Amino acid sequence: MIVVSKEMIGAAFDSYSDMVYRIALNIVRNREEAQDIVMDVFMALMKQSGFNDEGHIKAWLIRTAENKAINVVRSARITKTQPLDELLANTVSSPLSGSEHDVLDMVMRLPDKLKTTVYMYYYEDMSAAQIADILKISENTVYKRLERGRSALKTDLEGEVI
Amino acid sequence: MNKYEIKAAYNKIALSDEFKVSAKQKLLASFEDRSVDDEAVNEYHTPTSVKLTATSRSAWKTAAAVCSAAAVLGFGVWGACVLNNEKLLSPAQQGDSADNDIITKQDIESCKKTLEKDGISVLDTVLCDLDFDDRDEILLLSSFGGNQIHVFEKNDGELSEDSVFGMGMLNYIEKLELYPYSDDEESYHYFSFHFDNGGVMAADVLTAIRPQDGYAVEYLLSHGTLSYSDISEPFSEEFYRKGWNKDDIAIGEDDFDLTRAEYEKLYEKYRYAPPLPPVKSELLAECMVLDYYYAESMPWDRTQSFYVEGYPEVQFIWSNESIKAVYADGSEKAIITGMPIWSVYLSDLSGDGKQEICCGVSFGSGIIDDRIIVYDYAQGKQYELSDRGKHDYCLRMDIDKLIAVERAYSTVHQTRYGELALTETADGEYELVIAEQNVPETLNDIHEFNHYVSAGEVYHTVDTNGTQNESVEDIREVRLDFILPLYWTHEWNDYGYLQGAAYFNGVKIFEHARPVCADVEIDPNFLFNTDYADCKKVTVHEEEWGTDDDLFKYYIHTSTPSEYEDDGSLDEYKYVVNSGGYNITLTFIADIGLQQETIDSILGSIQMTEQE
Repeated sequence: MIVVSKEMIGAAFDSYSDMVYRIALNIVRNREEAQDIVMDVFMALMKQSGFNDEGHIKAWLIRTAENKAINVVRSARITKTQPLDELLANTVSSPLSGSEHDVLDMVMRLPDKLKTTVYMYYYEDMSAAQIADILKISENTVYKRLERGRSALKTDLEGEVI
Repeated sequence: MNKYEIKAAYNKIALSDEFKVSAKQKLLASFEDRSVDDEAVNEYHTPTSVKLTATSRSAWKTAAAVCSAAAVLGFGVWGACVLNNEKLLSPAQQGDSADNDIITKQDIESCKKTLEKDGISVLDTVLCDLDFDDRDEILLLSSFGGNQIHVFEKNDGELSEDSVFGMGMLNYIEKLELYPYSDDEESYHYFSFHFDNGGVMAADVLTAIRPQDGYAVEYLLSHGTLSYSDISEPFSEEFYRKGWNKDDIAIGEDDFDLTRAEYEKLYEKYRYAPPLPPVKSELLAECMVLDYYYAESMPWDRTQSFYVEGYPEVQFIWSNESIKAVYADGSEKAIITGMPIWSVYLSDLSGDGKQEICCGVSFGSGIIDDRIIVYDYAQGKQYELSDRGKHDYCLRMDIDKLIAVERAYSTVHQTRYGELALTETADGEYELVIAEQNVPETLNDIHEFNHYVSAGEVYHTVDTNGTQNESVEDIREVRLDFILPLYWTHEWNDYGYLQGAAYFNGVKIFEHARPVCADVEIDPNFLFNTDYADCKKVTVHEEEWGTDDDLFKYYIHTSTPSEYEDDGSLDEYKYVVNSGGYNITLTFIADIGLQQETIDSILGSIQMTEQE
């Protein structure tokens, strides 16, 4: 059992703040809102009592980040998403290549429900079972979402796993 | 594109080190004070609009964020001065205030340290007598996630932080201007300020102050009562048009949309969107020119021209407040006025072969009622369907009929609806009536109405530009303005359409789903799922009630709708299977507790029927 403590919060922030930011940014497409969601998520983390293990913390952060981001979008707090170029200004650690720019552009155009699944699968290297467990959906649904994501992205993904 | 490219791209998206350090410090500091509540976090991007009491000493504590911003500028009448981290007494402090309440540089540094201790960096510092008590307050513009202004007050030599306001992306303010304005009833002051976010984003913001609770504008200004819209989007040339849309940017519950004339008066730099192209309506017996009655927003600054069958030499121009007839010699005549005119349809109600102009209009201030006005251009006569204070009326288009909907005044409750008609009275005059009246006793019978577009039927659509199209599809398409209310539709909205969720042709139509004429930027034949902001085209090949008792309805359609069902969470009463390339959606009217085997059996029988 991992008890929520000051040290635990600090470590979680170090490990997962970028992950939370990416998930939020994917959905809200607004840098400042995504930053606010990062704060929201970790403030909410403080209010938890404890977690079973490190994976539990990560799962909780992913789900919370997605939910908060979708809530922000639904609440119409986001009145307009930022153009990608502007969105990425001061956000990327180094200039994006043309293909990287295209990748992000395409991923961010996916329906919100697909974004996180695609991100978790392709970036976080999570299995369909893990994603299903975290997002509380069936594995079959994960497969469907990935399929739809791939279809939308017109991908030629290396090493088809599913 | 491959997996590694996705990883490489995402690797480059990261929070800045500066933000991480700042945020982490704040988090850890907050952890020690578990009293930090959600509100403190959510204050970012929260529009603030506050009014003052007449005599409150601490009135500024609740003043809006721009109140602070205004003070930052040292706006003359308020005696504020920009400090820029240097000690400088404002006029207020040069008065007779007690010496121990004079702000010193030490005080400012102390306040800054208080914030910096929590990981909050200070961008700017300002002294301002915000509440006109002849004593300055310290305003610190800080950066942490979103920017904020912290207000410190010194009383009896003691500094205390009394307030903090979210400031969105504001880093510093360059200018502030006031625009006085008054109409027949009230006086307003508009203020505009420009801010620049380090070259990343710059914007002019226009907002308003108006009398509140009997206080004059001048009083409120002098006491720092302003309203502010916290804005987090980049702005285009059309910002002002958008900015004044309450749905886009909140500017307070009591604010309003400006007319074009008001914009002209208030802000010369404003640019207008071009007029919409004229609508050619001669092919249509029933024609919708425009309908913003149930739209999320009204294009207040736009005009739209159209022609009426039989009068090619006359151009009619709609604006939100009037419809004018413009003649070849350039002269014009206002034939209908309103506040505003929400919708315009053309229909030959009189049966003389010439269309009348039918409008849904609001009238009044304070007590605002909706009514229907019909203008017979041939006769130069105007007819009205209204019942002020008792009923509201609006128009909507059915497949081939212009429908008037009557609601109890200022409620969503429909009392009757039916085809709009002109009938002759006993004294030979004509009056506007609702013919073939219907009273929806329950929602259960509504599914029997034929709102479908049958195979091969000609129907008309109007796209978001107001352009009308004639369609002769050989397979029927679902149109949003033909949304079919079924049993589980729980509520009508104000305008005769569905308020909440409904199921239509296998797709759940969510709240806020809009008909085609509602100025939404989607194709009429697309279904719009507001939950996930995506829209899908769907073609229904067959729909049928499943049993004699109509316990369920099934649809055979293209595969798209199943996308909404993929996690099984949106509708627990709906089941989708695939049969020969088509999806079959089985929709139950309620949770009737069927076992999965029963459902499978039903679906199986449908598939078998198809195969046969």
